[in-house]
Amino acid sequence: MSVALPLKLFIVEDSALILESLRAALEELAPVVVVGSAADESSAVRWLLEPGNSWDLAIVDVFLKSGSGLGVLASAARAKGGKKVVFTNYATRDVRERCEALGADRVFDKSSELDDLIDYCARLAEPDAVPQPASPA
Amino acid sequence: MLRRLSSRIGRSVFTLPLTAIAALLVVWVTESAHIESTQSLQGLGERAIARAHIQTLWRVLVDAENGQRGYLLTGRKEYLKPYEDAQAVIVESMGWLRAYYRSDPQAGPLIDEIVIRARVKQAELAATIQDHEMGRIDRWVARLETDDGRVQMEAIRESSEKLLSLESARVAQNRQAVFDTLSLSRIAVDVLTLVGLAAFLFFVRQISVLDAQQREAARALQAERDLLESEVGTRTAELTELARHLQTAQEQERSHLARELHDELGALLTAAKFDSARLKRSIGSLTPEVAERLRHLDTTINQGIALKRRIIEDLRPSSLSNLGLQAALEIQAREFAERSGLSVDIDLSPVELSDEAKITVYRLVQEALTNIAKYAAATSVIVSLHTEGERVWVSVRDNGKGFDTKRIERSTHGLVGMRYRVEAVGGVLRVESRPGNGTTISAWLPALPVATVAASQSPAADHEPAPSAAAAAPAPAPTPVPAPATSAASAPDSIV
Repeated sequence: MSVALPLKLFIVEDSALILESLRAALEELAPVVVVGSAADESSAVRWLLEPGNSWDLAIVDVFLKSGSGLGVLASAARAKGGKKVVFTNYATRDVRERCEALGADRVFDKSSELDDLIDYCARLAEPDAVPQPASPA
Repeated sequence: MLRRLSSRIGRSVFTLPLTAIAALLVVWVTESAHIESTQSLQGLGERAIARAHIQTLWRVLVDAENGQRGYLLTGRKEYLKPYEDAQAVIVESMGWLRAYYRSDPQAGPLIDEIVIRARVKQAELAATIQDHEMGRIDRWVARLETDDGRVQMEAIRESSEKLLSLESARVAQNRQAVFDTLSLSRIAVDVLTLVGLAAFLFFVRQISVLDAQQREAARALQAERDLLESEVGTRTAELTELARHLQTAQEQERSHLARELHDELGALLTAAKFDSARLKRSIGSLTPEVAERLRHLDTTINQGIALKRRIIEDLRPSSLSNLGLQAALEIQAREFAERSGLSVDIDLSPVELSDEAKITVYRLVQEALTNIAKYAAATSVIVSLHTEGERVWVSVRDNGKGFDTKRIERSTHGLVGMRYRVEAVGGVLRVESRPGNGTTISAWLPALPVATVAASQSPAADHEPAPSAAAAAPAPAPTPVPAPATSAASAPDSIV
């Protein structure tokens, strides 16, 4: 039980640069592994609803090349899976309310809440552990 | 040629003087004819009197002679009556005739002779009567036998006849003169009448030619005006089209810029931000100096991100493309309320509009709120959005100090631009305001038919994902406003 399994992540992000940075940052700083990614709403929904795919956490950007992260959230509610969080540049109060109404567990601002997201991932990966960041204090 | 001549006459400077001279000539002819005829007729009357006197004189002399004979034969006094009566008449007629013919070279000698003979005859009559009264028969018989009385009477008769025939000749002459005068006058009047008629016809013709020319000129002017008007209409339409194109191009350019900034610059800044976060965490023991530099770098990146966001929001409201018009207006209203401290009520229901019209509505509300903050001195604002049949109605109403729409509207660029934007998407803008009574800005824009909405949204889904996503959302009421069905009837909710 104490052995942490890597958390399986699915990332919906239309910028390849951010996707790569995010993957690198998360995999380095938390026990996670990115098992899939998508750049638009339809391929994201397809992947999420595919029965063979299993995931623990979906990180969704609101603003996508085509479609919207909100649509992804709405569809993901029908998929069996883990937590869903929104990681966006537009974490205004409205967007937060809307995302939470669509079933998002948390909403993180891309610029100011990256650390919070990393901590959130770390906590999810070690559910039994006390909420303690992976890095030494 | 005739026309040219007539128009030359008509325009000549001599026309008026010539007309005046002709008229004066005719007046002179008729006036002098009148005077001459009057004189002739007066002369005729006097000649008739003269004739009567001549005849009277002759008759009275005969009567006197007859009376004398009767008296001489019968000796009865009553026969003397005609003789006595004759004396006065003879004196009167002779006086009149002598005065009448005083300076007449022809009739003068004749009347003198008549007068002399008549006096001689009178003397003879008087002498015989006196002889009879005195009883001297032989003397008056002798007087009668001299035959002198008969000779005198014969001479008087002859002279009288001559005088009468002279008078007849003169009457004929006078009459002829009157006829001549009258016919001359008639000719003059006829000629003037004909000339006047001709002048009148000429005048009428000139007038009608002038009229035709004026009508032609008016027609040409009208044609010119119509041409100009249609030209102006065409130009206006072109300008409207151009301005609309520019407006659309501007929005597209803004949208493009916003996307570019978000995609490219945003990704770079975010990646930099991730790197700084990783740096902070991966290096366990930082020297205070490096930690300080790292914090500074992080702050700089944050400032860059905030700047980028603000620019993007200004260029194209992300809420509009991400969350739809209704939500975008709610956010805008709330942010305005927080910024300005005013009470802002919203009363919104879902509407179907083209992308262009959505931006127009968004910008209209934005501009109206900006104006309220700048000028209105209001305490509360109501923003409404509803579908009315085939149109979408949006309005922003405040309770501020208002203004005189006639005076301000033309000069305020915000309102002009607003009207322009609304008209460019086929809508109508109305600004209602009175000093002290607040301002209401309303616009009616064409709603998209449902079929068109479906058709236009599948290809537009790439850039406009929010409405379909929101529509598919399972959450019952994603917005804080009441459901559309009740919101129209109930009072608008205050969101502040």
